[in-house]
Amino acid sequence: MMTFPVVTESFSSPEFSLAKAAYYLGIPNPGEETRALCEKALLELEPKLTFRVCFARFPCSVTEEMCDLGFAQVPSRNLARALGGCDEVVLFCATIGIGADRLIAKYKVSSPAYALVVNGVATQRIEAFCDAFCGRIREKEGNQVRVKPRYSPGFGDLPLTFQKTVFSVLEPQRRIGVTLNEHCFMAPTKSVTALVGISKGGEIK
Amino acid sequence: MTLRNYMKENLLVLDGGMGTLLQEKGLRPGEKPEEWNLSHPDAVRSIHQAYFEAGSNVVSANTFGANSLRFSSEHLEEIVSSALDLAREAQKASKTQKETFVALDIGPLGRLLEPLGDLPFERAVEVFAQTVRLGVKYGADLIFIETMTDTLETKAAVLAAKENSDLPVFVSNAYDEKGELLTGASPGAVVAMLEGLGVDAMGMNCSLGPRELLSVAREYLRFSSLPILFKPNAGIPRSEKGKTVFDVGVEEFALECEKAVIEGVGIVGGCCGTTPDYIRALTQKIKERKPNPITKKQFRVISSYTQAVYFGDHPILIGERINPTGKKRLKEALRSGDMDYVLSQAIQQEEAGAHVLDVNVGLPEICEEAVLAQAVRAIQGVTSLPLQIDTVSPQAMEQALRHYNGKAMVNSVSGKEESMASIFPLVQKYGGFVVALTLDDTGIPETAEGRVAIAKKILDRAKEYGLSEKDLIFDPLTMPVSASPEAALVTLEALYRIRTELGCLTSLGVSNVSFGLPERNAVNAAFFIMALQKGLDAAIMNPTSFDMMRSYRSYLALVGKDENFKDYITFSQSFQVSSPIRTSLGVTSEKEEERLMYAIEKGRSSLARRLTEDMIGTRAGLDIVREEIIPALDAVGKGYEEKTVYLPQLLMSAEAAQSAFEVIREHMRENDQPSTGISIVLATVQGDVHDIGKNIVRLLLENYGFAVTDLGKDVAPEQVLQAVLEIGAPLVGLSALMTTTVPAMETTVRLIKEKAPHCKVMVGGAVLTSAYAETIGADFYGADAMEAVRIAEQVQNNA
Repeated sequence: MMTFPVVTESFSSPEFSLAKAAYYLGIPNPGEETRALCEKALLELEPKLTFRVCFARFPCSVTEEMCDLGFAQVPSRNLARALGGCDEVVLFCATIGIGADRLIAKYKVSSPAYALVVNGVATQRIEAFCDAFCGRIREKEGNQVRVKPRYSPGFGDLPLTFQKTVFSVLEPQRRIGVTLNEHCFMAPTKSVTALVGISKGGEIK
Repeated sequence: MTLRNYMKENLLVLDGGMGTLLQEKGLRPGEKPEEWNLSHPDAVRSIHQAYFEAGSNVVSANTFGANSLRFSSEHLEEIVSSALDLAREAQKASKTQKETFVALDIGPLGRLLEPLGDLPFERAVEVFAQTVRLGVKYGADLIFIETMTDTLETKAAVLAAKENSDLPVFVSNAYDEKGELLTGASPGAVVAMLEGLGVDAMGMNCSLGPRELLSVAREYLRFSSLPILFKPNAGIPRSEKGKTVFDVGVEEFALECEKAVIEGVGIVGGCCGTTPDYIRALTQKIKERKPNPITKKQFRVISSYTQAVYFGDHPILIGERINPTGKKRLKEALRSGDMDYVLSQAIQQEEAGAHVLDVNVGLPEICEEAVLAQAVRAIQGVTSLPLQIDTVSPQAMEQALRHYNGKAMVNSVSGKEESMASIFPLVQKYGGFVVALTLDDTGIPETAEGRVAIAKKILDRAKEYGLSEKDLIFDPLTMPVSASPEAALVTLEALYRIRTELGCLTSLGVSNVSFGLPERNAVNAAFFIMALQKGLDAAIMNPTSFDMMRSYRSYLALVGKDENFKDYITFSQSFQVSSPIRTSLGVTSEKEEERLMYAIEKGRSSLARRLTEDMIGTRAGLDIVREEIIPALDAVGKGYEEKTVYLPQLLMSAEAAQSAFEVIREHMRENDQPSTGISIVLATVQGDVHDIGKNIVRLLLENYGFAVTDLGKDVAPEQVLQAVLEIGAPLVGLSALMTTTVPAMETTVRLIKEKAPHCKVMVGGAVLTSAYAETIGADFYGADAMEAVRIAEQVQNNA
């Protein structure tokens, strides 16, 4: 019997990008003051963050509108396109932990403006973490293998309710402390689940 | 033999992993393992039997995820009963000679509790309770709560277990590689809470291998007076040719677990990746060993969801600001349900250096039982400091202790029979470190002797409830010197004698000493130092008072309790800030960087506050608003509309203006000047919990002098209407972020138009457009906060 281990890992802090953080804040061209604020938020956030991910790898096969992901059959054209030509898929859940939510909750009371800044920087942290995780998959697979961009439940025609399946497979609460509420939103809020297609030779569509 | 007796003399061996073994037998990814109790009973039974035969004393039934959030009630009963039956059958079929037991296994619910999540605490208790009742009904020998990552959820599970059974309760939490729970708690904080709740054993499982988890076990052994449980993974998993393998082998695992036993762990087993082979090797390795005797620890400790605070070595500061006595603004906030103001007081005190926060919401016109628990929950959403729950109502105390995330400080019990009879049982059930007031049914003794005698009486009564010196901190009561000149000296003598004769710790509410005197801070600060010198362990005081903090920091520096004077030096840097640079006769400085307009435009809150404080004595508050604050906000608002200033900067300026405005409002309140603008009711509509946009609108409207009543988020249409009618507001602002809550907005608009046609309605929020606003019957659509201000001005001008 094949088993599909769910692996849990911690990463070191990913790269910080002021431009990205400012983008999430809604400031297209960050000046000195924005930089100072974002750096202050980063300094305050960083000791409270943990970069944790749990993931598992499954064989997959995809037709035009149906994805067989090894752990579920998913009718989704958009996902089929995102995984086109892939023979394996990595399913992951990543989080920067509850510390960011706590800090944002605190500043929502004492300084809502700064709460927005912390929120923007925290968003940059989780996105950069996911990028780093996917980057490492690419690195490990080498040049002969194509690793496609990550695709998350809630995008296109892949419903948010697919989160329930993701959570039953990965069990991220006990592994990395990520929970799912009735409306399929995650807590800690700075968490991401996604699928990453891997093509070991099949034609990429 | 009962499990509790067996544990006293013998090491207890638990079982190992279940999930991987079921997967090997065909459990598919995502399939619920508990379903296998019904669909594949042979597979489940054979795993249990293998563990019994490998040497486990305790096998956990296959009920880890068996709860009513995942299964219907009927199905849940089938699952739990079959799970316990299978474990019992395996127990009988196994040829083991050992004493064996079957545990009801309880894992986390998969949902985060309020305030950061959405699952209410009592709902979590009820869900766990349902499983516990089934476990009792179908014959479990103990309740094993395991792999818990959150302290509050752990507490809910323990309360459910203890309120619905008399079975032994073992609790095991999952730690990360930093040695903290995934929600941030230190082992010391978890131990404090669990000992307070009266569990039978506690420990750690999952997430790490035995070597890494040993450091967490050592922390438990250091702090806990209970048996410690150790159930690590077989290291880290990886995939090899389609099979899951773990990096710690059978022998290594047994060896590492033996080390834990030698250090004092009394209950040992395995988690993910461990198999009957691991348990067999472990059993062999420790078969000649007996549990180490457990030493009773004497820590005086309270905890929050992340940290423990220990009393005794270092004087602890308990912030007194969340107490309505004599605080007009806080009274107003509590009456109107303005929890944000309460929270801002909590944050300010934490930033000022408090270690613990006192929470008292006692006002005759509010329901203290509900509001105190609500305040405790809300405060724990913004600060990780432990709280001191302060009420004279045992009912309010119970609700607050129940919802508190951690082990709280209980303020207070006294020598009155009624007080002891109502408070000690609560401490026995929920845990707590109790402030004991040295007064009784005859009043407050005038002599130190009398107060020490009451302290002795309280201590003796506490012991009848299983409590001891380490659970109490005595308050020998500060009385005003203005009423009796010896009062301070009597208090200090009682304090000293309680410490030396009873060996107990002491706490004082310091500020009372100066009641009736001018310049009270000076007297308080001097008395504080005198009390510290006598050995005071905790002070209920105002940490935002410069004089008090100066005394405290200086004292610690002088008695060698401030390493390298680090805290004193940091504190000394605030000296300059707190002595305001006065501009001549309060007239605005010519220097641009010392002008209020500049401070607001640059979003510098503390500068804006200081400049306003300087001006307020000599310039009318409304002049400052008109000539400084509004022009600055207009300039920033214009910049925002022209896209030279962005939202966070606009907000920073709004906050700086708010700081200035707070100073003016305080001054106006003292001088009874009314607000200048019309009354406006604001709310985020029912079903919607996104309030940041609404808060921004409120901030700006208040800055422009409008009298805003903010009803908060998730507000029912009837509540909005009621507020509009009560206040007679000519304008209401509604916000919605999610498309799913727009219908609730429409219902609210319709209700207002029907029942309060005088009132105009403005709406805003990410999902709305001006066209949509029109179709739901709103009078105005505000694309952003500045537009809301313009709309309010328009309504005011037409009024």
